[in-house]
Order: sequence, then structure tokens, then C-alpha cells
Amino acid sequence: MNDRASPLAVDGFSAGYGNGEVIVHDASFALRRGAMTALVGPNGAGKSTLLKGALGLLPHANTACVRFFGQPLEQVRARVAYLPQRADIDWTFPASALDVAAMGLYRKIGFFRRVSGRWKTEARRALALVGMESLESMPIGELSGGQQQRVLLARSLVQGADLLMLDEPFVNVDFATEERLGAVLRDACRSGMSVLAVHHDLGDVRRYFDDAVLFDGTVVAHGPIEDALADANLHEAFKLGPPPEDSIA
Amino acid sequence: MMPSLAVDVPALLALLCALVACGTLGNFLVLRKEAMTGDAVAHAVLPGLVAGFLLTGTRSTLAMFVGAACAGVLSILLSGWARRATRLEAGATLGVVFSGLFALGVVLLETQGARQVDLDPECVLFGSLETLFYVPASGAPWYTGVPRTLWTLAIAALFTLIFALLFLKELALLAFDPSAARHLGVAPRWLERAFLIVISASIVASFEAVGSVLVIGILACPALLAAPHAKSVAGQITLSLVLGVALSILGYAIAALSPQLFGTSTALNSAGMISLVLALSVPLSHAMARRA
Repeated sequence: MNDRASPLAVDGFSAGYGNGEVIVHDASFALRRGAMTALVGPNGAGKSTLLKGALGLLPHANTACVRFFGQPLEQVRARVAYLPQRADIDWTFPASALDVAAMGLYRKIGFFRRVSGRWKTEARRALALVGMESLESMPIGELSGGQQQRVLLARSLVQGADLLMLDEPFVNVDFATEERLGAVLRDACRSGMSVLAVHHDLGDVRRYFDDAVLFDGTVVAHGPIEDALADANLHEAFKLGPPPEDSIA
Repeated sequence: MMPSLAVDVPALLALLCALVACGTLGNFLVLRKEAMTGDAVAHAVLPGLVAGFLLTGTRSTLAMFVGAACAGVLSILLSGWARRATRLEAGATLGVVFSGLFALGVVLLETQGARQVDLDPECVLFGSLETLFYVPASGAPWYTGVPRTLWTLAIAALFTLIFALLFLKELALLAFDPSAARHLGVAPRWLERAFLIVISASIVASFEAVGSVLVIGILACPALLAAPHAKSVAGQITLSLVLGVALSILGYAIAALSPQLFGTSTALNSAGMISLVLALSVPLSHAMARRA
């Protein structure tokens, strides 16, 4: 196992949904270990496609040029957690907050085994990390949007992964929940985890993230947040025309 | 009127087995918002049944079973492929695939002479619950009188229950969050294919006894009845089977007692009546959940 390798490195990656349209073109970047990286770009830029494609969840993606910790995903699947968009999940599903958090353990539990008390204790611990322990038996459909997002984050944390890939974790959550989620992710990064999150709000991206990948079908810029989100890059990605002279200087 | 051992008990047991076989996995179809898939498979098995007969020249269980299972799996693979290729919504592609395959089945039935062997439309729609009799030969062991269809259904029900129990948590995650299930590696392709094969097999096994109308009904209705009241997947499956069995017995009894209840000259078709009772109960169950 190459522990010095980047948590996620893509080189010339492309992906689409299998109808001939390529949405991600020739993307190349490598995440910094222990950093919180935002994947930002205009609507429809292909940010979610990039995430799903890299994880092999799309029919058309050249995953051969994607490496997690220096290896193909199949070799290190347990070290990578994925939190999809809230809209991808059926919130009327008959499950409690604890049931959902425990789903992150299914790979460890294995086939033909029940979610026994030991696993439930682990799931409870993860719910406590996101401040949801008191609502563990609540049906997920009765939780607020922010609470649901915290339960999903607990499901990702309980997996014990070293890389967390999140698709718009802060969408439709109130400010307090956003702060709480941000703090949990920062703590996770301090303990060695790396985070890549699709993020929409350019206004608060600097508050939570260390690095950014600016994306518009391909990588426009990547690096520490101040460099990657420089005005010139933002103008290029969001097609705003040339930036004012003084901002280039 | 007391139920008769020779007539009512085999029919009710067949009904119970068909309900367990189709209704258990029907819960996962409903949870995945793919209740139409069951409908599609129930229609799409027709060309498989006819092809099974044409290729073997017999109506043996195995020939029918293999033909129909192949057609069932083909329908799901075709609709999945059409959805990916066109990005149309799932219902639209299913509609095209299952009506196309059903039409192919009718054409085969009409043109290849298969209709001579009582694969008639009535049997396809309403099954043969009324013709399942328990008649053991005198002096022979009890099981010799059990109809072949009932054995097939009992095996299908048992197999489906075991499959659902073994893979309950994986099938639940696949329904709740397919991306995470695939990413975590807990829902490999073989499990998804096995699910399709088992549900196709359950549909085919139930087809002969209860017909396509009731197969569609018992795939979706018990799960839809239980869904608004369930707190867990296991709870939903259990509740769906309990409600499904109770309402099916009620429907069977209404059909059998229809001369006394409605003044009809003969008993009404039980598969049709059970379908009606199940279908009418679904909005009632949802209304009760909203009130609670």
C-alpha cells in the first residue's frame, strides 16, 4: 500500500452517461493529503459526473486513469467513502437514523450477517460525532434536511475511510448545520482524512476548504484556494468575460 | 360455508405461496420505485412461455419455466439498456419493452399453433386457482394428491424467502441509495442479477396458478399497503405479507360466496376478486396512515 500517494489522482480522465455525450474532458489533478478540497464550478459543469465517474458509478468513464492512494479503486474501496446528493436518496424509505448510519458498515459486516449490537455501537458513535445520537431511532423521513445530511455524514464516517468524497453536502442545510458539518470535516482532516466536496457557494468556500479544483467540464485551475479561485480563473470558468485589469495584477 | 379440503385448501395454499414468492421481493421493487418492473416481467414472460412450448413441444414445467425466466430477464435487461441509451425515464422504456414483448408473445401464440394447448387468454389473465384439486389416490401417500403447481409454488416461496433473508441488508441499501451500495461493493452485479432472476422465477411459478392480473397485484399491492405504516424494511415485508394474506383470503371468500352475496349464478373468478380487494385496499391504507 502506497501511503504517500495522493488520495485521488486523475490524469486525462473523461466521463459521460453513455449516450455519446462526454461531460468530463481530459481532467487531471491530484488531491493533497489531509486537505479539504472544494470542487467548484458553474451549474452543469460536470462536477457530480466527475465524482461519480471516478468512483466507477457511470457506464462510461475511463477509470484506468484514476488512482486512489496510488491504486485502482477496487484495491482500496474500503478507504474511500462517498456521500451522494440528497436528491439521489429516497427519504421516504422505512429506516431510522441508526439504520442509515449502520449502512456504512455493511462492507465490514459482510454477506449473510446481521447488524448486531457491536456494529450498532459503532454506528451510534458516528451519530454522536455529528450530534445526532439523541435522534437515532427517528425515521429518516421525519428528520430535517440538515439532520438527514448529518446522518449521511455519520454513515460515511463510520466506514473508517481515508478519503471522503461528498456531493454538495451543504446544500439545503441551515447555517448552524453547515457550521457543524464543516467542523466535523475539519476534525476528520486533522486526524489524517482527506476530503473532496462539490461546493456551490463561492462566498463561503474559503471558510471551510484549504484547496480547490475549479472545474468547467475540465480542470480550469487546481491548488491552494487563493490561487485556484483567483479572479482570472473564476472569470474563465464562469465565462464572465475578462476580469478587470487591477484584479489580474 | 366451510372451506373444502379438496377444493379450497389447495387454492388457498397456492395463493399463500404465490403471495410469499411475489410479495416478498415486490417490496424491494416498490422501495426502488420500480413497481412497474414486476408488471413488465409479468407481461413479458408470455413469449418465453410460448417459445418454451415451441422449442420442446411440451408444457412441462421446466420448459415453460426456462423460457419464461429467459424472457423475464431479457425484458429487464432490455429496459435497462434502453434507459441508459436514451435517458428516457424508467416507466417509458419499460412500457415500450413489455408491450413489445407481450405483443410478440401474442403473435407467436396466434401464428405458431401454441394456442391449441390451452395457453388461452383466460388462463393467461386469471390463472387456474379453481382447478387445483387435492385428490390423493386411495392407499397412496398423502402427498401424491398435491397438485404439481402447488409444489412448484411452495418451492418458489421457500427459495424467495431464503434469498430475501440472506440478502436483506444489501437489497435494502440498493433500494435506499444505489450509488452507495455499488460504491461500498455490497451490491455487486451478480446480486442485482440474482434478484432479477429470483423475482422472474417467482412470477413464472405463480403465473400458471394465479394468472397475470393477480401476479401484478401481489407483486405491488401488499408492499404498497404496508409502506405507509412501516418503520423498517423487515417490518414492511412482514406487514405486507400479513395484510396480503388476510386480504387475499377475504377476496377468495367473497368470490366463492358471490351467489349468496350478489345473487350471481356461479362463483366469481377468485383471482379477479382478490386483485380487486387488494387494489381497493391500497388507497384505504394510505388514507389511514395520513389520519394517524
